[in-house]
Amino acid sequence: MSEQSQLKYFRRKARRTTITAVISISLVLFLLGLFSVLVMNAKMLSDYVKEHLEVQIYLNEEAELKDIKTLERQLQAMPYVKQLDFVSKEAAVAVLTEDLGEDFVDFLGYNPLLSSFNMTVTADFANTDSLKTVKEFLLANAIVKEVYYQENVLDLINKNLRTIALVIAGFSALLLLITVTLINNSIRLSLYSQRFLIKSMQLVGATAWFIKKPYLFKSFLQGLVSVFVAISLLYGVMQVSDAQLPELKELRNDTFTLYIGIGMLLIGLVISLVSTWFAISKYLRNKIDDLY
Amino acid sequence: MSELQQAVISIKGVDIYQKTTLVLQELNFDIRPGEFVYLIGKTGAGKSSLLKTLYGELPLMKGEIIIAETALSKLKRKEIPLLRRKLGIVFQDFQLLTDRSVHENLKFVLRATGWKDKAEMTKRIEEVLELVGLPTKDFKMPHELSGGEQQRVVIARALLNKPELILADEPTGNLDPDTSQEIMKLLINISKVENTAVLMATHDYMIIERFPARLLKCEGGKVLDLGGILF
Repeated sequence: MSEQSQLKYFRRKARRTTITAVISISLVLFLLGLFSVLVMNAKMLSDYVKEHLEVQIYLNEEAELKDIKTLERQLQAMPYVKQLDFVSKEAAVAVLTEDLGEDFVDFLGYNPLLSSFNMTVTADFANTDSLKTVKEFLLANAIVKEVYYQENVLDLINKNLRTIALVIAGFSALLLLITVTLINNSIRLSLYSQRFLIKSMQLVGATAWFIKKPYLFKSFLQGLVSVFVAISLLYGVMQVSDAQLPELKELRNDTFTLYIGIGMLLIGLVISLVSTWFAISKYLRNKIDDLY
Repeated sequence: MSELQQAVISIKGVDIYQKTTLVLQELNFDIRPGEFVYLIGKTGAGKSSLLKTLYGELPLMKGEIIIAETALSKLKRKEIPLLRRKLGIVFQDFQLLTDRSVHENLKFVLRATGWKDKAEMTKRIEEVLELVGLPTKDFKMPHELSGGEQQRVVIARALLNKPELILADEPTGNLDPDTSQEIMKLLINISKVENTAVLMATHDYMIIERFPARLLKCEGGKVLDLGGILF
């Protein structure tokens, strides 16, 4: 090998280790990001279901408009109320008539339906215990005749969600552990080839910090590139999924998506830096004889 | 000035361990400024362990060593870099930084040891390369140099901070006889011109015969001071 090509060979080798590390880090970060997006979709889906669970509040026949208005104001002031619609007796008849396809008021000779409120609550409030207190509060009001919601459906949703959340939490922890281990290993591997260099630097009287500085800087850049690659990949996948499954777009929350990006950035950088720090510290502590 | 302060290395009642094994026992000797001393003995006799203890790679377990005004028994981990800046280390294991040129190798040492001024750094690098006879090789990469040239650069690196003492472990170990002699002439010359003490471990008896100097011999767990007499 000529001197020139040998030099090129060394440079290529060094570049290859860096590229390998960047690829491994990008891929695990991408996986972590993708999983986070799926978790976000699942959360949004469950919120969607919960927030569309209707609570019907039937009012007494004799309820006066003034009292109805007071109750409406009271309810609207509650932080857990997501949406509140008043359905008058007449509107209820119109809906039911259309559903039945026959004019039952004519047939009965009177309107048996009651005025009501259709209420939906925020997702964190859609559980049996919370709704029970709401129900009690409403029933204490003289104009409320009955409060109705599908209690068993709600129970079923919440029970299933708890199981799913547990599985997701376990899986997230596992994935995070895998991410940390893999990134740590790629970085240690890429620094392994530097162990004699590091020892030599130490022997000429360089302090630990002086030796670490350029490596930490390099690993910061490496982390940054990996995060960029991972986020680009994730963005690409989301674009494709938007084109193929437009419904999924509904299940996205921009704030949450931003958090996923920030999370990937932090995890990528922190793990890169911490792994580099420990790997170099290890080589600095080792005696020459332990390096072979 | 007392004799103890005058010595570059002063060793009193020292035991040398390699890990948990006692390899050398009850050492007592001094090395004066500008003195050239050979450390001889069979492989495994403890030459390298003694040198490693001197530059803080192995801890001092018993006795006292004062080297370049530093007491090793009180040396903290953080102070090891400061000790090494006062020493020049020329080792077989101790390579050049393979990823950068000769100039950058030397510059790294200067920056690591607190030099800031660029012009001064360049000047000092030129000085030491001149001293070892490689004034035109500063932009070569280490692998582009021959073994002898690499060893010269290692010596140049050791000289950067004008050490009072150079510790050399088999500096001619990988070199052919002619190149070995060149390197020896260089070391002896530096020792004279710069008044730098040199402690050199070797088992190359040809070299010792050709360039006689004070001999310390590791044998049977002791270090015998043979003075200038061979065998």
